[in-house]
Amino acid sequence: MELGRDILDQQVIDRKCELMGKVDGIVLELPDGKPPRVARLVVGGGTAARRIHPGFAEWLVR
Amino acid sequence: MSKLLEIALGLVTGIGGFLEAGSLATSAQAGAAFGFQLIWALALGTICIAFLVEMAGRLAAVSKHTLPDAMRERFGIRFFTIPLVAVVLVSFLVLASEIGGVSLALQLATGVRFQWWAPIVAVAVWLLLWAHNFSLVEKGASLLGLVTLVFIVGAFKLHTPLNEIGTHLLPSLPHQDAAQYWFMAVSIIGASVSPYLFYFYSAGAIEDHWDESYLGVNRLIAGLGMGFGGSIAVAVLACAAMVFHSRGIQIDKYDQIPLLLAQPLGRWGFILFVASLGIACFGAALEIALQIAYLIAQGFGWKWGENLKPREAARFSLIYTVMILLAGLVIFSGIDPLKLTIFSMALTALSLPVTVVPLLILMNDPRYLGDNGNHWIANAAVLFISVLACIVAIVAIPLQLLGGS
Repeated sequence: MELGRDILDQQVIDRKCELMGKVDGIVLELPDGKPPRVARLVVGGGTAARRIHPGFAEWLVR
Repeated sequence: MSKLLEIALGLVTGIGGFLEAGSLATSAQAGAAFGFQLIWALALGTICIAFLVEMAGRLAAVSKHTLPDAMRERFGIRFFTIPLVAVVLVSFLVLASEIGGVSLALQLATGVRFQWWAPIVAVAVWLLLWAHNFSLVEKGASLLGLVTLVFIVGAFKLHTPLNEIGTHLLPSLPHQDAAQYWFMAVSIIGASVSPYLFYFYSAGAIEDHWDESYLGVNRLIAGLGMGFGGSIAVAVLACAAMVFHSRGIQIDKYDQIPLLLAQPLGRWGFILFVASLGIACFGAALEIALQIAYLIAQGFGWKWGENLKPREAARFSLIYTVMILLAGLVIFSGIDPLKLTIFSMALTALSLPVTVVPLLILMNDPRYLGDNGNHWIANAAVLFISVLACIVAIVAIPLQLLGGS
């Protein structure tokens, strides 16, 4: 599985199949001496804004 | 629903829903200023929108994705922002134009200035969406929109020479006012290829649960619906050529346009023109307000749907509420609706590559379309028309703004 292609920007649904948003970000953990693992998926405007442009995210926060 | 009924409804929507503020204003102005000479731009625009609508329907039927949903997934949020901003901007201007069109129809009917009608029209559009009975309203507006067929009657009553229409299906260079000619050409293409048409269509196909068995239905609706719709726009241009161009009159204000039908059909012509303008623009305003909400909600994966109650899809409802409010304010400010409409259509043409190229990439991606990908003719036709319209718009818009020729 390629995280960027197969997870990022994909639809998130709840257990009733209601639309909840898109995967805006992926948080990875880097344990010592072990391969990185996915800690959580992020759905939210701030992460999406940072991916569009970091300056845009800063402007939104202000 | 039986497929035959789907086809019939699709055709009624295509015919009754094709004409709106943009195609009416651009066709009338082009006919008045250049006679039949710009028929080719209408033909190009109609061919292009028929291809695009068919593609959007095929994408939905095969991949079960709406267009914004697939674009976000395929290209990521960063790239998706570009068509998102472009389509929201042009759609907003077109929404304001449609509210202006309804307001002007009411001005023609009552004598009360259009600005005062704008808030009432905006509230009426919003109320119908908020009351979540859009399916009924959409079909009703399309059915009532068949009144626009009166332009074909008008063109026949004016004894339009059909050979003139045939001759000008091929582009020709202008004899005078080159800047205005090319500006009108791109405005006509922009009016025909409004992105809201194919974005809206893809959402409808998903809501109606289309699958691959609908590919034939989709092709018929796109080809015949847009073809018949385009011929109504040709009839508007023909009426304008016969009524205005033959007398050397240019159209500067919406108030002049009713003469298109008043001349061949008398008082009934005026009444039917006002009805056509009001109904066509009202139907388009409903669709565009929804389409902007669809685009943003689908792109961000939020709940959307024309028949959901506002509390079931709060962000979706908030988007169309804000857009309708702002568009109503634009017209209430007193901006000339005719100028706004023509300018919006030229901007639409300018933005075509940004809205169309991502769709073409998706339509050639086997992950979405499998074996139902685009034929090279569809790719070539849409790419050629979109890029041509954009290049001409880049040259013509500044020239027109500067008033040069």
